[in-house]
Amino acid sequence: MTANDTARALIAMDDPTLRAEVAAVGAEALAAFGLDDDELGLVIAAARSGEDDDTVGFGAFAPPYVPMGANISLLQAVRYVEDGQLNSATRSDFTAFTAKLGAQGDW
Amino acid sequence: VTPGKSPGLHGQILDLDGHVMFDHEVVAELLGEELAGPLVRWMEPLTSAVTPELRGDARARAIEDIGSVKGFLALGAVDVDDRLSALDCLGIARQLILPPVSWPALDAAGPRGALARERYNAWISEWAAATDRLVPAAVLAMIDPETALDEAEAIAAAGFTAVEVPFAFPPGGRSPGDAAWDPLWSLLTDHEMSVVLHLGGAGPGAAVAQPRSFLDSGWFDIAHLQPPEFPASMAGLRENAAAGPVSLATLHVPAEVFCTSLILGGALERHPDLMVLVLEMGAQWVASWVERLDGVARSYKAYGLEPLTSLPSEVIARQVRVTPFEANDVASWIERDGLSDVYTFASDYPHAEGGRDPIGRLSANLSRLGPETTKRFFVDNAAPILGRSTLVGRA
Repeated sequence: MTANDTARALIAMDDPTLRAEVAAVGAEALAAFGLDDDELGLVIAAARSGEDDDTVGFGAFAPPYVPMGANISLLQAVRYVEDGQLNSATRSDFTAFTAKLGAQGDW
Repeated sequence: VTPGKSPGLHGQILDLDGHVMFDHEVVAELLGEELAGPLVRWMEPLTSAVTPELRGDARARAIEDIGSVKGFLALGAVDVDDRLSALDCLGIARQLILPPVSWPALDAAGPRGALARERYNAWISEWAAATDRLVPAAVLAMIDPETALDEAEAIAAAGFTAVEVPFAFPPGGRSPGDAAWDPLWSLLTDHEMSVVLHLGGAGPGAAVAQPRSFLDSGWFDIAHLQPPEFPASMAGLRENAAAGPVSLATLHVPAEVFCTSLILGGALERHPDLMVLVLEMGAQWVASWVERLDGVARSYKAYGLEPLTSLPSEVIARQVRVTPFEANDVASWIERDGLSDVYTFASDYPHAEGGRDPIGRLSANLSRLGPETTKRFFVDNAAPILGRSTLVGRA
């Protein structure tokens, strides 16, 4: 029930298999992370973002197709984590995770 | 590499829009201190975290699913051998190559601008030198006809096949269809070089604000359409989002004006082998534009003036190519309006906005029109640009 847990869940969903599972079954697939309802809502919405969009991940935010909507959920989840308290290991991992998202236009 | 989906044309497809995704350090080196600042600040958060490990992981995933990794980590983002593997996977024979994002030095006046263009042109020429499948476009300013001619002569000597030009303003303060520009168009024609208008070259759609913009940014300034705060790690992208729906709906306007002025000024009729490419600005506007130009040409003829001896629609079919977005219903447009000689394929690879499978999606859309029309879209319409003999000499 912290931004740290939410960060761990988002990083874990870099695995497309888990992301697909979260998108399909929701909270059940995230039981290991101990998220509260609001956090579950953010993470599940992020998992489902872009599912119906042929644009690749953060490409939705590359010029000129901004902002097309689908990935607002992912952005909101990232913002929630950035505004919260993270331990140093998670902060380091999360910084690498968001940098990777930006560089590869994936997810 | 897992083969991509292809419309029975695997290995033959000609792609009018690809990008080399070098990082912020190369940007700084090529543009120089004065011009590089805003673009480096925009790009550095996206590229500075790219480690060999990240690139290796992304490469492995891209080999499994070419459409799943785009941007700076895409297969062949900057590595030539990997780019050729990516083209093999996608079924693309040749690809026109443009800068990572709209190039800030495209219309920069003065010696620093000229030097930045010269450095980019030298860099991209060397990058693509080992193969005739990667066809770079040089960047060419049109500050005045004499200077442009000098730059174009150097570009021609280097063996380029296309030049990207700015179109935010009337070049040299006059129409590109004015006879003063004919020496430039003649030189490009003589060297079988095409003219490229790409998104961002007129301001809107550029990654960072350009020195001049066709449309005043005030048109996009609508308080209730401003995007929400972005994560701190992606704050730079909010500036792009801020242009919003008005920008998105008017992306093509600068290119339409440039081409209108060029065509009604007679430049393409006087240079019937000169090709003009309009890239990444959609193509929904084309049919109404062609109809309007024909109407204008006919009405002026009634007053004794003849902007062209041919109808603009004939000139456009012969010499203008416009690339739709991957989600566009091109088949319906062709059924309704014709213009099957004009709409031409572009992947935008490896930009994410090009989509996961543009070839599969567009070929599915075009399938009901039959193999001949599909081949025209994916291969034949780009042949005058990417199939020219000079490419063989470059290899």
